[in-house]
Amino acid sequence: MEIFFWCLLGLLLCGYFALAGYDYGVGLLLRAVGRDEPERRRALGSVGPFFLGNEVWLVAAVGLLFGAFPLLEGKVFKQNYLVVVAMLLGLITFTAAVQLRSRRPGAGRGSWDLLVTGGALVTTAAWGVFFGNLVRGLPATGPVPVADPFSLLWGLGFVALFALHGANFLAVRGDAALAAKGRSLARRLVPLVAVWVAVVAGWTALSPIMSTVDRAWPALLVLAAAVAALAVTWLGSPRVALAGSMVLAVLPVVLAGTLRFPYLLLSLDISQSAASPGTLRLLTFVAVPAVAVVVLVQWLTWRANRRPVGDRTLLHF
Amino acid sequence: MEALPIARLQFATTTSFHFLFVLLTLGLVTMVAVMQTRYAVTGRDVHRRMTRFWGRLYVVNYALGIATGIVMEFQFGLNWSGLSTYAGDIFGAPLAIETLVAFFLESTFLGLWIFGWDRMGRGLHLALIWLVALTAYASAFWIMAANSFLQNPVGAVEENGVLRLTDFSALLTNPTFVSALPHVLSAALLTGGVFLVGVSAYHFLRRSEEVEFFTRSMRLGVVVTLISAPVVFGFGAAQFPAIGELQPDKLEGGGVGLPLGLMVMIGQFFVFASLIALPFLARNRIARARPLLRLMVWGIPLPFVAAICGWLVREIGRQPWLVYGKLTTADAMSDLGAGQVLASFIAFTALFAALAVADWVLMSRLARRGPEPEVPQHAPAAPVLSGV
Repeated sequence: MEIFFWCLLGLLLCGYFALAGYDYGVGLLLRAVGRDEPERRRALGSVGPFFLGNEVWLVAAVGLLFGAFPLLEGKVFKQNYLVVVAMLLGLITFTAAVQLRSRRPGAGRGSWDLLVTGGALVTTAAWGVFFGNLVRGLPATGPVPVADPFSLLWGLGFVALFALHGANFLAVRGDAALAAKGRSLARRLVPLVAVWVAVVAGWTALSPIMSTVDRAWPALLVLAAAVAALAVTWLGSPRVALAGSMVLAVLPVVLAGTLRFPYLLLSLDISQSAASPGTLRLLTFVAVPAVAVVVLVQWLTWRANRRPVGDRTLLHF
Repeated sequence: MEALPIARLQFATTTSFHFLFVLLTLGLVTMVAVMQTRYAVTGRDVHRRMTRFWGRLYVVNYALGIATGIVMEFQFGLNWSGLSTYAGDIFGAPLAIETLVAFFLESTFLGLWIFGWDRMGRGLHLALIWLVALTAYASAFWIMAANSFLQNPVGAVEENGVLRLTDFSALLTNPTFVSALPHVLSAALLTGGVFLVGVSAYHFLRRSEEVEFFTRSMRLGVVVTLISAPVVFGFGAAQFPAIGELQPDKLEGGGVGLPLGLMVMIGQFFVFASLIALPFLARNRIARARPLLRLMVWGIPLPFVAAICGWLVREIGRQPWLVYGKLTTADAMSDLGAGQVLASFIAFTALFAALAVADWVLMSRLARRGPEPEVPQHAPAAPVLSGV
């Protein structure tokens, strides 16, 4: 039962990074791809129909974390206090700025754009540090270094990774001009992400991190998947490349979730942190149909809006 | 400097900001759903434009509701990890249901609604706004269930120092839940009604040419206020017996008196004000009753003041308990340095204040500009801007 919820939590987090990840990426690249207002409007319009649905995967994940693993929730957030606070500040700035920037016709948008890009930058970097901390291994209690070089490297890597994801998304859903810019940006970002993956893999293998891990194969599998996804992103058509960067975006979640399983933090395992069987049973009745409906509705939304942005596209954000 | 008072202040600030947005969101989405239903039935352009105009204000406000809500959710884990350790097994269930069923679906449906204008069948599009409204109400339902558990922890037993869920249905029949939920829901409707009335009154004061548009909006607002004000008042009063029995010292503290008094006064004001406004609806005399119109514009912030007061009464009155009679607020606090908590408090408060100001400036400009002209003029190659 706990394992089922662990997987469901992983699924929700994967959904968040795979989907909201390209929102952040487009936010990061907003000024790089859009020189004037119509271009920026089209870039934001490319994520528009999916934006509200993408963001809430995180809310659902944290809700499930609180309901199914109450003990873990408090510990993992507290151990990353300032990182989570920074992530939230970035997330709120980004979310609000995207939604409010275009609401008044004819108004200036310069400062809103700055908030969009800055918010996306802080959010992705903070998530990187957060996952770097999880991979390095967090004690269930006791102090955690705030600015550990390994985790900071994750922060930088996440910015490159999600910029790549955003570039791939623009290559699929942007109009001709945006798609070309997305493709050329992706060409430059893939090597950067590849270097990051290589450095992280080498650092992890050679550092004492692996001594806190019982078995190495989850890490090796994730590395293999990352290499394959990078190759696909480099070689494939825009749509295939987008699928590749989606895989890349969710791999940190998979890695953090499997590296020390069933231990979640260094001294807290899955059964210690889970809610009682009664609560989990109750949540099953709710969570499974809810996730199924959301997956179905969001898939239909994608089917209806997957064509590139054009003159007839509805621009809201 | 201690971390606890800062963490409490942070929670109070975040919740107050969040409450300001969600209350109006909940009220407005109901009005918009009613307007769109009329449009679906009559097919008249005025209803369509009403749905768009009020829907746009709703969507702007919704953006900030989400943003503040995410911080609320994370704050339990950040500052109050003692709560999840001790009561997570019960408190977490309604919270998780809220995010999964209500919030998760609400945003997905709202996205479809925003992008569905003129692109899907009228019936399907109408169904979406009702689904958004329904999931928003479900959200309020589960949050209130979770909060009511903290007021009166039912359906749980203590085992090895932590609470275990024994009876889920007890959470939903909790006496602190059954009267508080209709109180909050009708307060949201009242807020939406007063907002409609106030903005319409502003346009009458400016002698807007959109007479039919704002007459209809005004009428809906007055009727909703007329119905919801006594309900808010009644369910507010109905909570006193349960409070007297379950939380006898709740209304004793000095911090509770002023907000309670203010809330009761505002409640009475709206009961009378809507009764006074009613006869003026006949033959649209209200459009010429300028002193009354001015009063209506000034009335817009009052439901928000009352809502914050109501929340303060409910929460200050619970202190020093977080889970009433079982877990104190001090014990629920994560062991954090005061510096960390202060830094996050200042950062979030500054950000929320800036966003709230941005939101209200934007809302008031959109509200002042009024609805779109009847025949939308499209430049040939201009992008299609969404309707809300």
